[in-house]
Amino acid sequence: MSGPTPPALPEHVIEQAIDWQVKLAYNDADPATRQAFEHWLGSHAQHGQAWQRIQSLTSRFAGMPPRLAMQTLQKLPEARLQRRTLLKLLSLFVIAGAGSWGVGSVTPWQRLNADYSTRTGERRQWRLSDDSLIDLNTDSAIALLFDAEQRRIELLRGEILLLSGADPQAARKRPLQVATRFGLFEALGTRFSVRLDEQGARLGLLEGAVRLQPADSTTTFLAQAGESWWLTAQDAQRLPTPASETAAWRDGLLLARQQPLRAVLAELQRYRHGYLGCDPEVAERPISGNFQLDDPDATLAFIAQAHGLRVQRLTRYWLRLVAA
Amino acid sequence: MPGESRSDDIERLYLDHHGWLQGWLRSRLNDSADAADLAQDTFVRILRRRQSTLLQEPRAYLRTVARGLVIDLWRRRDIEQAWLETLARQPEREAPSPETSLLVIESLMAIDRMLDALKPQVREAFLLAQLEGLSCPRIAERLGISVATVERHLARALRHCYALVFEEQP
Repeated sequence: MSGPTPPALPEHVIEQAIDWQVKLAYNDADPATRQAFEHWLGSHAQHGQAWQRIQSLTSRFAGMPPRLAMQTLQKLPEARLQRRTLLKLLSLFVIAGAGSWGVGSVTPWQRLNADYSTRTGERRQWRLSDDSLIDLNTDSAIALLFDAEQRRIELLRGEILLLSGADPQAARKRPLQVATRFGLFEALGTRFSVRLDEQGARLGLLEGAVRLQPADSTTTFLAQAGESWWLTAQDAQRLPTPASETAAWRDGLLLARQQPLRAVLAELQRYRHGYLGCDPEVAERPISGNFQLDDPDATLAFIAQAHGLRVQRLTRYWLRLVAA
Repeated sequence: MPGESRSDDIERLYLDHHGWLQGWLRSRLNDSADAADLAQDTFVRILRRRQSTLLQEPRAYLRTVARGLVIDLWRRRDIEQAWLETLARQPEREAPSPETSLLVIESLMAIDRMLDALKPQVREAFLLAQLEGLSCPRIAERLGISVATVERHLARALRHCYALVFEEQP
C-alpha cells in the first residue's frame, strides 16, 4: 500500500455509500430503493467516488472459491486464539492432545514483545549493555527495561541464568531485578537462575545473594548462595534442591535423582516439540542419571533402553514410553 | 537531482544499519535465512516508498517497517497452513491447481490483513456476506442475531476496510 493517500471524502458521504451498499448488495432492494440510490449517486461527484471506493473494497473477494476461502479464513482466528491460550499453558507440563502441535508456532507472536528469546530446544547466551551475562534455556523469552533508575529484566517465559554485571557505564548504581508475574528477584551482586512455571517461579542462587519480593506481599526474603527458593505471588519458601542442580541446563544436562519417569519426561518435553508421555503403568518408576539435553530423542531412547521400556511412536510429535 | 541524493541516503542507511537490522530480525525470528530475507525486503520496501521522510531515527523507522514484514510472514504461514488443512479435507478432484492456490493465498492475505482488527462476529458476518453471498436475513439466521445487528456489523466492517485502504496513516 504505497503511494500518496487519496483525497479524503466527508464522513457523511462515506457513511451514505456504506448504507447503500448494505441496502443493495446485502439485502433484496425493491425498485423504489434502487431509484432512490440512482438519484443519490448522480446528485454529487463525491457520491460517485465514495461508491466506487466501496466497490473496490468488496471486489477483493471476487473470483475466489467461496467455500474453501471461507473455511480457511475461519480457521485463522481460532489458530491465533489457540496460540494465545497455549502461551499460558506452555510452562504447564501437561499439554494435552491437540495443543502440543501448536507449540512450534506459538512462540513467534510473543517474540515480538521479547528482546531476547530462544525457541524449543535452543540455549543461548548474550552480554547486555551493563555487562551482565544472560543465558536463556529452551523456549524462553525476556524483555529488558533499562533506564537511568533501574535494570529490570522481565521473564516472560521459560528460564534465565543471570551473571550480574558491574554496570560500568551508569552514572549511579541501578538495581538489577528479574521480574515475573509472581514477584521480583533483586540481585545483590550475584549469579542466579530463575525459572517461570505456571504456579510460581523458582530461584537457584549460585553466588552472592538475592532478595525475593512476592508480588502481593510486603514481606521480603533473602536467599543465600547455594540455596534454591520457590516464589509465588503471596509467599516465598526454601526448596531442598541444591542450587547447583537448578542450573545444570546451562551445561546441557538434565539431572534426575530418583525422580518418577513422568516428571523426567515432563522436563524433557520442554526441549522438544510435541507430546511426550508414558503409560500410567510405568509413570512412577524412579529414574536417576545425568541426561543430555541437546538430543532429547536420543536421551529418550537411552532411558527406555536402561529401564526395559519401548518408545511408541504415534506420530513424529507424539511419543510414549511403554513397557517393552 | 533529488532522486539521486535519495538513493545515496538509502545506500548510507543500508551500510550503517543493515547488519544491525538483520541481527534484530534474527533475535525475533530465530532463523538466519528468514532474517536475511526480511532485512532485504525492508530496504526494498523503503526504496519503493515515495515520501522522503527520512530519517530522524533510522533504526526506529527500520524496526517499524521490519515489524510489519515479520507479522506478514507469520500471517502468510498461518494462511498457507490453514489453506492446506482445508484442502486436505476436500475430495481430490475438487482440489485447485497450485497456481490457483497461490492466487487465492494472495487474496486471503489481503483480506485477512483488512479484517484482522475486527471483532469475530463482525468479521464472520462480513465474510458470509462477501464470500458466500448471503443476505442479511440469512446471516442473521446463521449467527442467531437480529437483522439490524447484522446490518450494523456489515457497515462497521466496511467502514473499517475503507479506513485502512483509503485513509491509511503514513
